[in-house]
Amino acid sequence: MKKVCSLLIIGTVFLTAQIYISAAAVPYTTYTYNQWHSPVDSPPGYKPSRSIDGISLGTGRFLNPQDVFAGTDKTLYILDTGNNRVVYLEHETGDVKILEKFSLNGKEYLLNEPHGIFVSEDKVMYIADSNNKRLIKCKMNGEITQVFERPMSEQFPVNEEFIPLKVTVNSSGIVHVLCKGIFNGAVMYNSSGEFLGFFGSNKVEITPKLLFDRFLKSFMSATQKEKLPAYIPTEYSNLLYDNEDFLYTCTVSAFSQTSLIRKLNPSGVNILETKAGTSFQKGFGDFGLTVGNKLQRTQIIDITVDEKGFISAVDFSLGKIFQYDQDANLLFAFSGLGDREGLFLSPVAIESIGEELIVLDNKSGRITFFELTEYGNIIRESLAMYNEGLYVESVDLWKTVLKLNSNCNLAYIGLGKANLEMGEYEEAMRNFKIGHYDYGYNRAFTLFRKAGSRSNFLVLFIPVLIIIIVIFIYDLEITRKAAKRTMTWTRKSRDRIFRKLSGAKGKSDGNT
Amino acid sequence: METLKDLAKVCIHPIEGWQELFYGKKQSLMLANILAVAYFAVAIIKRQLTGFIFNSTVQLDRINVGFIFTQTIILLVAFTAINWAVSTLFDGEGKLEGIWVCVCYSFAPTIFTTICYVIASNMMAFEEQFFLKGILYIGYVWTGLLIIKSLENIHQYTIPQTLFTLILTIFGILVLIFLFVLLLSLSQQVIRFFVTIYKELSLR
Repeated sequence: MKKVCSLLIIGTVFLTAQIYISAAAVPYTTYTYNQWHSPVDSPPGYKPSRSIDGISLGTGRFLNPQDVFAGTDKTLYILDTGNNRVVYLEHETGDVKILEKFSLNGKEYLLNEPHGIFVSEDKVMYIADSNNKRLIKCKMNGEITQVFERPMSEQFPVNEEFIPLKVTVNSSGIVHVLCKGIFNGAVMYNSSGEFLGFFGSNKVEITPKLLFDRFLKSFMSATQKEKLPAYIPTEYSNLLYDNEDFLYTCTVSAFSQTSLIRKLNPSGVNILETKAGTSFQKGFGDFGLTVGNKLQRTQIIDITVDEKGFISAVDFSLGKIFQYDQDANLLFAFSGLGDREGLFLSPVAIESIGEELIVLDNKSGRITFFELTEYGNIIRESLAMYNEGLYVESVDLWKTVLKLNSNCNLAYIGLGKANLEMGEYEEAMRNFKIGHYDYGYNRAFTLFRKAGSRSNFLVLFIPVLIIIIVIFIYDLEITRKAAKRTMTWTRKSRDRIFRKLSGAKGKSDGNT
Repeated sequence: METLKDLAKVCIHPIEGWQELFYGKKQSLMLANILAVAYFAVAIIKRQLTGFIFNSTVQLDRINVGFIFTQTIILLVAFTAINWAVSTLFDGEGKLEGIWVCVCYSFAPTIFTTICYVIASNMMAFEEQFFLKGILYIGYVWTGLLIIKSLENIHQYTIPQTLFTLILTIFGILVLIFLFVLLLSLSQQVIRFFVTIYKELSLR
């Protein structure tokens, strides 16, 4: 008896140890949000594969690097802000090159704390030279071809200095610069350096507090009004153009979680706003996380869009990386603050090369590479098919996703939609209920009800017919009884009247 | 089941029904209690068993029965007590048992319509929510009218007087809640005081 018990105990310890070993392979928990905005664990979608820093590359330690950029040829550019230089790694050869010496019109030019870098397809480098208050455009050998300075236009706010922080260029060569303290949006220049205006400011959201403050403002004097905090849109933390000329922006502190990440079309309309509103999670970032007693807001400091269109965002406050698809569905959130590989001290930039994610940590000067796990691969494939509308073809993929992660709501919704297409309404209802997608459940239910009542028409109709007949007969009976009562009453009262009349006349007639 | 027939008469023909009920001393305290418990049960059923389409924002595995108990039975009890108090101040003739019978019998339509709502919600789609909500609201309005009529009858008030006492009753319930919260926090302080003394003594 004792031996059996001890064997059982040892057996269970070994079994549980297996589970712990596989979980410890990645130094963070990966999770998503379910329909009640509570975090639900999921298998890791990315795992850290390697990390490099200045020392491992042989270029000397990076000092406060503020930006990374991955060119279309997969070259990785690291903007070593503290050392005022650019270090770049070529993908095929693995060569490490340093660009320290810049020349403007033949004279030596020194960068001063550049914060942003962008390299176009034809190898033209744009560097936001922040403390020198200009944006420079140079060739790969450091020869500066163009300098963008503070716009002379009256549109540019008078009291603000021109401090460019981040830069991105679209396919027509129009340069968008994110400047510190400018909340009108990105400063736009065309390729010849002319100032074109602003683009894409954040919107101020109308909240009850704002309306109340405006109401109070109407009673205030001029000096009091000056002391009020102004409701102006916040500036964003980063911006980038994708292949189809949509501008993605991310904000550190947005009014609502649906506008933390925005995708603007050329007219400045945020396409992700409606998608985020109808998505499963209804918003970006973390929900309801409290650290100590305060609500922890997600502060997204950089975003990147990979080739398949998945948006990855890095949160500065808790070191998390979120990945969303184009419909603003959260795939998973992972990583955090810490010392180990895969965790960060202070993440400032994120990029994607192929299927890898690259995150830059400016306190340790380290760049961490993340690669997809089996789960991450499968869920991205399934979502790609789902977003193209190939519901039936994606069934097997979703089933594999469910095998790895049975908490994945998106998988149940995908299966449900496939069931709808194939006409299996009951299965669809079941899947939508588990996946908690009430719009799909409603559609499946309507179709199920229609099909069910058509095939079972007689079973439903005959009882209704019987009830109608019974009510009809009952009604007839009641009417008959009432008529009989009325008839009896009429006859009785008539007899009474006759009796009175005949009694008054005397008992002669006998006409009863 | 004479009492059920009386209940039906009171709900369907309130103008004569209430008068007959109290004048003929046919009110049943037991039926009133059963109806109160039924109201509580039906509230739980409504929360848990309505169809998924109309219940998707409710976490079904996190039901707080005490909450629902407070919203149903405690509300009825509080309403009765406060109404009795207010009507005493304003020369009403209703007794406490009478008011309790009034309130509970008046809730019979909500119980009935809520059960219909629960059954129908499992068979209707989202586009038909107009009819579904309609069933529910018919029940609430019916109950409201019954309460007004029954209180008017039992206290022998005119309609304006009934409405006035009703408003005072609602206000009184708010005062009751406030006093209860006050009592709770004050008693917490008292208990903390004694516990601190005990701790001080035991640690010396």
